[in-house]
Amino acid sequence: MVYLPIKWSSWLALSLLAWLGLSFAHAQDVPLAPREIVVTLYFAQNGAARDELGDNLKLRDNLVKLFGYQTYQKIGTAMVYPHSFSPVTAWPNKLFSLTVQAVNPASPRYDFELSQEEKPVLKGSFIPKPNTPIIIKGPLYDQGLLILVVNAVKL
Amino acid sequence: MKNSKSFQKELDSLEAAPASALQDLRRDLRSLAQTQNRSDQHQAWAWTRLREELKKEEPSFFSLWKMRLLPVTGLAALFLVTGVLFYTSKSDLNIDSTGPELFANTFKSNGADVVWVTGYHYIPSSYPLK
Repeated sequence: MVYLPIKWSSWLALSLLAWLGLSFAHAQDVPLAPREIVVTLYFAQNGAARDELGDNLKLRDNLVKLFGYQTYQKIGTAMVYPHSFSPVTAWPNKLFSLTVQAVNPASPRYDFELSQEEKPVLKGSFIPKPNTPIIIKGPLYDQGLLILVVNAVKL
Repeated sequence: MKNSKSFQKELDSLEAAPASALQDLRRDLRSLAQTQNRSDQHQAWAWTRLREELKKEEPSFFSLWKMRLLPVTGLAALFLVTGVLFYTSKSDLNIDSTGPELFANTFKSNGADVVWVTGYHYIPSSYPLK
């Protein structure tokens, strides 16, 4: 039986495991198909306003459970296509803006910055996933609450 | 003793054996036997040592595994686990910073990522939303 020199065997095992590890780690962060980012601003209240979330019961139930308000009025919606590395900004209304920028070509992660009247509220990063909205609690307004919902739509 | 027929025969049989890591030792022993510059006692000790070396088992895969590959593989597995933990520890949503006087926390709720921000200023109804 022919044995490889021990040093080479060790390096071979090490390299193989390192390769497996990197492959596994990379698989957690593989680039996904392009996403359209949809930002919607809702005004939640308990008044007699018309509820505009009747067609999205799952989101409505979630918002009721989180914030306790019964009606959700859509104030505005904006869409962005962060397909390049330039920042793109969505303005669901004149109060809020969400700027999104791709981090690097090998990652589906996007950096984002939420601003209120052009002053930064939040900075962070996210991986957009369909059917996993990001719900951002906004400020109190009048007798209710402003809520931002960020959705990813596969193009 | 060093030039006896039995030792010559043993040397011949050793040289006929397939090459191994002990070839150098055999060559040295033959050289010693020919140059006659070592005592019979020393040569007897050397031959005894050679026989003992020859009796030793070839390193099996399992002994190789235990002695060398296991620690290396263990170390590599440790790096692997560390790497996987590092890469997967970053969740889908991260908040790096917030505006002044604001605090944010994230959690999951019924399949959605929630960013719970506190510290906003109240917006009166006189401010038009649209």
